[in-house]
Amino acid sequence: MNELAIHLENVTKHFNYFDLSNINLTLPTGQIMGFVGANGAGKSTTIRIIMGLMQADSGKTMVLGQEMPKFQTQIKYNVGYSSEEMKLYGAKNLGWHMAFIQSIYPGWDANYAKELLHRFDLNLEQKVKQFSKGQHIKAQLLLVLARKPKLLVLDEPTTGLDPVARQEVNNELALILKDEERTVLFSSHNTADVEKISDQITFIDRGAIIDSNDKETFLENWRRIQVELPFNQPMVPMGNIVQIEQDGRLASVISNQFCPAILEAYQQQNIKVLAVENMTLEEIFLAKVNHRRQALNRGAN
Amino acid sequence: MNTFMITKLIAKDWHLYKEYMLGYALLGIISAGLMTVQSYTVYYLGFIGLITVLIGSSAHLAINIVVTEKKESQLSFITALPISPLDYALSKMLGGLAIYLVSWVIIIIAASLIINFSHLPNGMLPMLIICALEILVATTILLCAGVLTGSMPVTIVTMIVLNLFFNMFIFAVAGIDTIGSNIESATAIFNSSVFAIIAAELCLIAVILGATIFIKSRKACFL
Repeated sequence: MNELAIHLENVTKHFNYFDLSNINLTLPTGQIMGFVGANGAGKSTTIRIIMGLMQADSGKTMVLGQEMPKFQTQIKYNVGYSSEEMKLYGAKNLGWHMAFIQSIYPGWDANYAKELLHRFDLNLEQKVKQFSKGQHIKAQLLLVLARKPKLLVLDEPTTGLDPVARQEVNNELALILKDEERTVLFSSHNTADVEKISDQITFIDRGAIIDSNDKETFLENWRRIQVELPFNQPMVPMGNIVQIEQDGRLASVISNQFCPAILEAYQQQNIKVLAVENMTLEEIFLAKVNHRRQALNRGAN
Repeated sequence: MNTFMITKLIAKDWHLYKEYMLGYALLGIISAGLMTVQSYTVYYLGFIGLITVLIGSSAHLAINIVVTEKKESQLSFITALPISPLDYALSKMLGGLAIYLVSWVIIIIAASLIINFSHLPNGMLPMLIICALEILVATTILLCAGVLTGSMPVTIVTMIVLNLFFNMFIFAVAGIDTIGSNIESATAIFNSSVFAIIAAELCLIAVILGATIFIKSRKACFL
C-alpha cells in the first residue's frame, strides 16, 4: 500500500497564456484523491500529462511505477480514464462499445458489467446518440470500471450535468468506489462532489498546487472563528490566520491550523469568541485560493 | 508498435464505415454500368458518377475517420486506450486506406469487367487504372493531412486542391501521345508510359506514408 500510483515531480508546461508550474503530486495506491480547482486552473492539463496525452516541458511523470509518456502503452492497460469532453460513437449502441472494450482488456468482468448496466439503468441496445448527458457519462464509467483498472482517472465527470443527473452519478460513484479498493484521481471544480468520495484533496490554482492533504486533516484544521473586539480597531492577525473580515467590532477569522490555544490568546486580549464554526471543503478551497491570490498580488505590487 | 491494438482500431473503423463503403461500391458499379448505355449523355453521367463516387468516398472516409473523430471528441476515448501516437497514426493511415480500398477495388474490378465485356473500347482500361490510382494517391495525401494536422479546414483545402489537380492530371495524361492515342483502341495497351505512371503513383503512396510515419514516430504524445 506504500506504492505510488501517481508521482509527479517538478512538472512544468508552458503555454502562451498559461503555465503549469512545478507540479508535485503523489497519489498512493488505494487512495481516492479529489483534484480541485477553478475552471482553467490546470486540472485537465495535469491529467493530460498523467495520461500521456500531453508531454511536460520538464519534470518527471511516473504512473503505476512507469515513466509517462515513454511507457504509455503498457501503463494504459491498467488505467481507466474518463473525462467530461470524452464522447463515445453516437451511431453505435452501448453493447457495441462494451464488446470493443472487452476485446482489448483481458480483465473485463462481464458479470460486473452486467451489474453496472443494471445499477446505471442503461440499455445495451440504445444508440449512444440517444443517450442523455447523464447516461453518456454513466456509459463511459461502465466501460472504464468493468475492466477493473488499477488506477482510475476521472476528469470532471459530472461537469455539465443537471443537479439530478449529477447526484445520480455521484451516488453511484460513491457506492462503486466503496465497493472495492481502487486508486482514483477525481478532478472537479465542484467541491461537494469531491468531498463526498475522496480520501485526499489537492487544490490547484493558476497552474500551481496550493495545498494537498487528507480530507479529515483539511476539515479538522480549518475553522471560522466569530469574534467581538473590545475596540473598534482593525484586528491584528496572529497565528495561522488566512482571512479576516471585519465589520466594526465584529470580525470573522479563518484559521488553517486551528487549535484551542488561539481561543485562549483571544481571551487574553479581551476578544470575545462568539462562535467556532466548521468549514465546508468549498469554503476552505475559496479561502485558500483567495489567500494565495492576495499574497501573489501583494508580491507583484 | 502495438499491432494488436492497431488491428483492433482498424476493425473498429471498418465497423463504423463498412455500410458507407459498400454503398459507395454499389453506386460505383451502377455508374460504371451507365457508361455502357448507347447514349452519350448517359455515358457521360456514368463517367462523372464513377469519378464522383471514387473521390466522394475518399473525402467522406478521410474526413470522418480522422478529423470528425477529433472534432466530436471521440479521439479522447481512443487515446485513453493502450496505444501510442504512432499506433493511432498507423491505424488511421493503413486502416483508412484498407477500408477505402474495399470500395475502390470493387468499383475498379467492376468497371474493368464492364469495359471488357461491353462495346466500350478496351483501350480505356490503362487510363481507368491510372486515374483510379491517382485518386488513391489523393486519398493517401488526404488521410495523412488529417493525421498530421487534425484540422478540418486544412483537410478540406487539401481535398479541394487535390480535386483541382485531378482535372489537370486527366488532361495531362490524355495528352501523352503513347497513352491518349490508345484510349479508343479495341485492345488495352499497357506500354512503358502506362507502367511508368502506375509505378510513380505507387511509389508516391509509399513515400507519403513513410514520411507521415516518420513524422509521427517522433511525437511522444497525442496533443
